[in-house]
Amino acid sequence: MITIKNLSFGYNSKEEIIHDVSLHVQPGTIYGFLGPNGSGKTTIIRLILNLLKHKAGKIYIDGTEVNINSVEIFRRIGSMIESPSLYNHLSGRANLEIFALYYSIDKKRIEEVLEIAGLTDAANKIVKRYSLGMKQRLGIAICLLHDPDLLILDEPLNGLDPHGIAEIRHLLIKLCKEEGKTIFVSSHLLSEIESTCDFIGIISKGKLLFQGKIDDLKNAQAGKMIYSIEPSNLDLATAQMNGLTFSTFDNKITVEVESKEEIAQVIKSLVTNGVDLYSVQRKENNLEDLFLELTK
Amino acid sequence: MLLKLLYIEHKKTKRSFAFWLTIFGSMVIPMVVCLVMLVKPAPFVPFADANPWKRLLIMNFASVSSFLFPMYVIYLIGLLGNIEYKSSNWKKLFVLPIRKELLISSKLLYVLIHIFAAIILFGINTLLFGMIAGLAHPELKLLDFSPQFDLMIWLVYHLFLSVLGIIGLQFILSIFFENILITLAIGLFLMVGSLIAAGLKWEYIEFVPYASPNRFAAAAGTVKEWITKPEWTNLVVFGLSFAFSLFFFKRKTVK
Repeated sequence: MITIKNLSFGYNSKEEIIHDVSLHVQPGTIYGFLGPNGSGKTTIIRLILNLLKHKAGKIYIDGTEVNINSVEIFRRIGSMIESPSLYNHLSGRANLEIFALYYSIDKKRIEEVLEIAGLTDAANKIVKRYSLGMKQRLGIAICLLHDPDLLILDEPLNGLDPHGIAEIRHLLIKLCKEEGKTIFVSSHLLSEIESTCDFIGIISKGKLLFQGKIDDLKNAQAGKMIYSIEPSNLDLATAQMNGLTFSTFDNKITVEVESKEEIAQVIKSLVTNGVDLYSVQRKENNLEDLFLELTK
Repeated sequence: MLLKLLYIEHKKTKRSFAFWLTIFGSMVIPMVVCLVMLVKPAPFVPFADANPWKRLLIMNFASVSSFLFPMYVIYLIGLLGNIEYKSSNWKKLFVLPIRKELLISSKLLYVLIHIFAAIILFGINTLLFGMIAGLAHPELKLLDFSPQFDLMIWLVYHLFLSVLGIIGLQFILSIFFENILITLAIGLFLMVGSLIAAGLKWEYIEFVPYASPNRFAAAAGTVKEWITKPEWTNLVVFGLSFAFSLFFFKRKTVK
């Protein structure tokens, strides 16, 4: 549905902020586009939507190249970038009516999307009195108005409470699985969308670091074991960590090893050098840690 | 399509400050003049058989056109242009399956219609408040004569032409600058500068669009030509502004 080939971009000729990014989003799937704040997610989304002009590379939506003359392709895309674009002095329904007119859509559809977004009861309320979650849902309702095949949502879970996050997640899964929509959703938190996405792409400092299924990411990190050690003397203990990847926090050492034999060696070395160990604990491979590790 | 886009612009403006500014703004001067006539009618009693409507219409149109009306135009265009910035809606409008040229043309056309409607409303309010004053004070003879609609239309037409240049230039500013204060400050600066230049009788003043309403005020009711020299300048400035808006808008990005 979306294919990006060797995309590069910079706001001026000297500084490049997106470096040679290529990615592919399959139709009928949810693609999570992940990266820390400032990694280039929103810039890439703006480039996909032709809101910024790319310097190098190609962007295709369903086989059609996006360029300055792209107009018709937008009939098939619903998008929400950062905060939803709403006329705050008008009601939720009036906002939908405006976009229904732009897309020449029957008013009946307004009731349908209000229902999907759970805003039927609040439809006549002025938008400036909406909560953040309601605004996000109205933004998504506007995206759905013209029944697009592709939804591009930039940080739709930003600022939502856990209940709001669960609602939007549920809505995205429903739209993809029941209505066959392709969804490209960005987030800066893996945990927010990992259960929702079929595929993920991880970006950091304008470079795409990983693309594939979440299981692939886990497998890429398989074979590595992480242990948490609580020593009696942190300085003496860290001095024994030669050649190992480790970090310290709250008087504990988190160390990465290849095998059980290797951690046994580490323990033996610590004890023989006079370090008492209060606890040694194996940590499960945590996706959030992997994500942080990749993007640091 | 253009009609639909105009209707959309109208829907966006409904209930907004710009909408109420036009409704109530067009009443202020006719109401103030009416109050003055109610309190002190003597200076307004017409000589012999002179039609009092002519004097009232010219007085009202001339009193707003040199500064108040152009400032209303500057403020209104700032507000209308700012609707999209305030709601961060440019990024949404640019991903509509509608050509940008059509979007910008409809916005400019809506501004023109809104301002033209505001002038007509001002003319109608002048007549309505004049009738109220005429009812209270028969010596004003406002009810003895029929209102001069032809003169009103002539004044509406020329006042509109006199602000056309300002409309074009302020429109560019309103889509260029996100901050409405910058648009207003530039407009105010050019307005005051033009009034000073006009006061100093600068030889090229007829080529300054911001001084055009002031020249209309000075000659209100005496103009016989369909299009005066300053109005030609306004038409040219408006045409160039429109062309520039199209060029600029086509290349506008959303950062």
